[in-house]
Amino acid sequence: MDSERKRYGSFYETLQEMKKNKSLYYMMAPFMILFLFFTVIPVIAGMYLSFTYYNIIQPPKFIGWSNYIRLFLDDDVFLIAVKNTFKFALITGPLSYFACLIFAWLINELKPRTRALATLLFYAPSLSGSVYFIWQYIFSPDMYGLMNGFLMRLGIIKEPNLWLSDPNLNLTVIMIIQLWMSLGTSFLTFIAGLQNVDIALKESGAIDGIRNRWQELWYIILPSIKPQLILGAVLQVVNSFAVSDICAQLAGFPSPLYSAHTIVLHMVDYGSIRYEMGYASAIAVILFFTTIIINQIIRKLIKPE
Amino acid sequence: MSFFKKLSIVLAILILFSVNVVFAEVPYNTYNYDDNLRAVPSPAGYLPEKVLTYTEMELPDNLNTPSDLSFDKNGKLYILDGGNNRIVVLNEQLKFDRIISKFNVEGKDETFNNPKGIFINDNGDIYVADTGNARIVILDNQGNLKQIVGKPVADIIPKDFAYKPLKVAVDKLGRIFVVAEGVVEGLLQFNPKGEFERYFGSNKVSPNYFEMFIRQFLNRQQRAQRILILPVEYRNVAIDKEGFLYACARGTYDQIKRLNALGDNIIKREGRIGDRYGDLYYNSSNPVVTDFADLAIDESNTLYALDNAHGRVYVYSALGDLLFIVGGISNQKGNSLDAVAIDIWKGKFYVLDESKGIITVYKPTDFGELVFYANSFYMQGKYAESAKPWQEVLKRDAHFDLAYIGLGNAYMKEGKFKEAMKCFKTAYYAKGYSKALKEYRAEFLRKNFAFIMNLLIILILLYFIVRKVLRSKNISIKEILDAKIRQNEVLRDLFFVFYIMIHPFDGFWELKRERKKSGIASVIILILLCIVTVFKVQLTNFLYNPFKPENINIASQIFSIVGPICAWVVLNWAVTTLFEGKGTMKDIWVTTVYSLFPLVLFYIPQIFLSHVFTLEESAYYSIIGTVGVIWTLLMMFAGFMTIHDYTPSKTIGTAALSIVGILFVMFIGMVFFNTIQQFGKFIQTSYLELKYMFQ
Repeated sequence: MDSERKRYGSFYETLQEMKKNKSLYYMMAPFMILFLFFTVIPVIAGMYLSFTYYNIIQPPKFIGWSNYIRLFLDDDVFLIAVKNTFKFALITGPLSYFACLIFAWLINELKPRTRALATLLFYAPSLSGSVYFIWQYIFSPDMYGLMNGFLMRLGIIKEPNLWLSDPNLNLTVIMIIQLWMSLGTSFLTFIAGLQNVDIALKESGAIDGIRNRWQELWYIILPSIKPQLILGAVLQVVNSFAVSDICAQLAGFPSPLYSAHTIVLHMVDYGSIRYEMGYASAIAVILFFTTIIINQIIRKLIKPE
Repeated sequence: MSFFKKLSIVLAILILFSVNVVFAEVPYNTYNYDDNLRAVPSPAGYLPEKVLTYTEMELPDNLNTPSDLSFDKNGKLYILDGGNNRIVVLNEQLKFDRIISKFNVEGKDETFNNPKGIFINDNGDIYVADTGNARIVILDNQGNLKQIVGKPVADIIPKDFAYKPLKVAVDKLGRIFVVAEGVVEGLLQFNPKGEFERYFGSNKVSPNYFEMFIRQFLNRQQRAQRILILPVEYRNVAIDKEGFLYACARGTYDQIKRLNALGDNIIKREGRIGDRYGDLYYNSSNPVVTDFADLAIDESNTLYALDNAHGRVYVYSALGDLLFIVGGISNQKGNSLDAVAIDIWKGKFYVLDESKGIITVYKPTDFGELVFYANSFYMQGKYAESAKPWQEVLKRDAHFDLAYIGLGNAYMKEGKFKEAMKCFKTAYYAKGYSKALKEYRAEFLRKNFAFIMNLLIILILLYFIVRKVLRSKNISIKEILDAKIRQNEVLRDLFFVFYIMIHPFDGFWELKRERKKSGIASVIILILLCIVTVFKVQLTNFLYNPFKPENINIASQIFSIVGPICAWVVLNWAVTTLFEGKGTMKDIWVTTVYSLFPLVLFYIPQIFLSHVFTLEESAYYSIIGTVGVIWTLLMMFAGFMTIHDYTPSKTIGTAALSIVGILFVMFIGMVFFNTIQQFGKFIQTSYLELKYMFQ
């Protein structure tokens, strides 16, 4: 009973404890202050604003759940954006995650100098992230575009596809491009993790009856880079939830029939074009909770036991 | 005689006379298509009013293979009497008026040669497709020659092109559109001066990727030897009151087109039949494919399509809904043998029979008029006004789905979404139902959103508070429940399935080694599965339900679950015994049934969500089911690997062998029962032979 009282003690007791350890609190203070001002307060302010009508000029007016009602029931474009964003998160995210893992594993087997070169090559898309014009050239809508020309020569298509402005096609094309761009993000993490795998583990594994590379990957390498795996997954999913720029650049903003609209673009639309800050905050709050929930799920899936 | 007796006699006589009204049996099947696109009987929308033979028309002699007919705007009927190379004109009373058989070309009289098509424009000019002479002859109303449009001349037309114009139509600007034999490029379009301008409204060929790929690797000669893929050619062309061209072609879909100035098909097809016209299926009992010979369009854009192959007329509303099916092939009055042309005048339509040389006049019945009346409101968007006539229609034909759809739309307009849902459901009209459901859902949520969200937040807070309080008092609900479950061994093994779902390898191992009551638990799971699947068929909303609950036999449905499971268990046991599998039959049974548990878990939310999701959300709906199936397969894989102590490849191999085994057993079974049957028949015949021999 006594220990229980200590754990769930009164406020006074807590204060006593704090006084006892105040040096620690001083040490934490700079970070805590920054965290408070740049993360906690904006999030809470956003949550409050999501319940208001706020156009920056007039003071925010509390309107209850109206923003959310409008968002879910009257805003069809938002639903399109949710659908597209989830497509990015569920298809592009995992695909690029596994691609990163496989590539990192393969490249890690190379000799150090080739490995450095290959690493650079794979990381290049992320470094030069905004070179959309390459893709605009490849997916150019006339018959001189690389993809159109190639497919027409093969006889698969008869007339050039409007890759980036056809509402049925552009999301797929952008997903492919996003896949290419996001290859680098988790890649470096995995490479770093793979470099740190203890060789002794592999050797003892070989003695204990690891028969092939796949078993080595599954039983030794993956368990030992679990923290990196989680980090990579979280990065990947958060990245795919935040996809916006590339859509706006390639398919236009707004894209034809909102075919490549994403949640972040919707937020940009209402926040910095229409100045409906309350509404934009509501979108942000939903995005916030969605990412939190998804992160929790990922952590549950790849738990370091 | 008392007053009442007198009255009753008078009444009886009256009734006798009233029964004596003309009662004509419809000489053809009247039907419409239900939601499954099956033919269901329906009241007649049109009845044959009279048959115009040459005596009826007061003609001097019989018509000889007439090929086309057309009304001018005054109601005079022009019949192209192809075999006699003349045009027969009937006056407004459909009696003989005059005959145009020759016309003057530069001082010489000329005649037609086997003409096939006629068209009268608003000025009364007569356009005749003079097939045998390879020209279009334009006469004025008196029969004097105005112009002759000959063979088209252009670079794209080969010199040796044998021009045989079949049908002709002229739009408001005087441009002439010609259907010619063997022309697959589309309609031939001439300008008013008679010069060829272009091909118009070409039918598209759907690409065959395989063929195109193959052709990449062939040289010119080999390519020439492959089958030519050609678009279909048009059969007829008509023009509506707004000046749009309608054309029909042979095929199984998109047979009827409304062409805009670019030659694109802009016909409305919001109806449930989509882009298919005519008879919707052909099978052994109905082997003839619909072949449209002619079209007619009235002021309200109702489309009358004449099907030469079945001798029927299909009446479509302007929105592409099939309203009525009229006619058939026979010698009876009202049917035809070779219907080739149709035109409409004042609500009646006239069908020309080439081989009989007669014209049949069809008149809408009361029912037909009622449908048209309701439909006219419906098409103008006056849904509220259309409600009453639709209800009248339903009194006559409770199967007329279009009426339910009309009523549903009326309710939608009034904002009574729930009633609308009911109507659309009766008509099995998924698109409308989905729309109504969406509105109803939004309305419901708009009213209750704040309440639901507040409740949700309160519940979440409550959860955390309760958890905190319980934790401070050192009570764990989970442990209490666990203790309760642990007391009963069957329950314990039953709930173990949740552990297996997340840890299949360890779970199945423990199930095999330590859990003794898993057999009883597996039966409980199987019963659960049966109940849930029965519910899934019975309670899933019709949007997502491929079955109709009233058509499903519960017993056979349960057998369709239990039967395959039993077959699988027996066959897998047989196969794995041969391949050193360590699992006993009970292991296999328990593993299979436990693995099916995700289906139970995922089907239940599916049943509920089917009532909430619209068609657009079908992807989310099917994802739930897919997850369940994949989970089940993974569990099975892990389970069989564990109980048999197999490698992955061996597991898959034996599973495939078991399935082959099931098919084999089914085959053997079929052969066996067939043989038994044959044997029985043999004994029966022998007995009969003997019996008659000794009689």
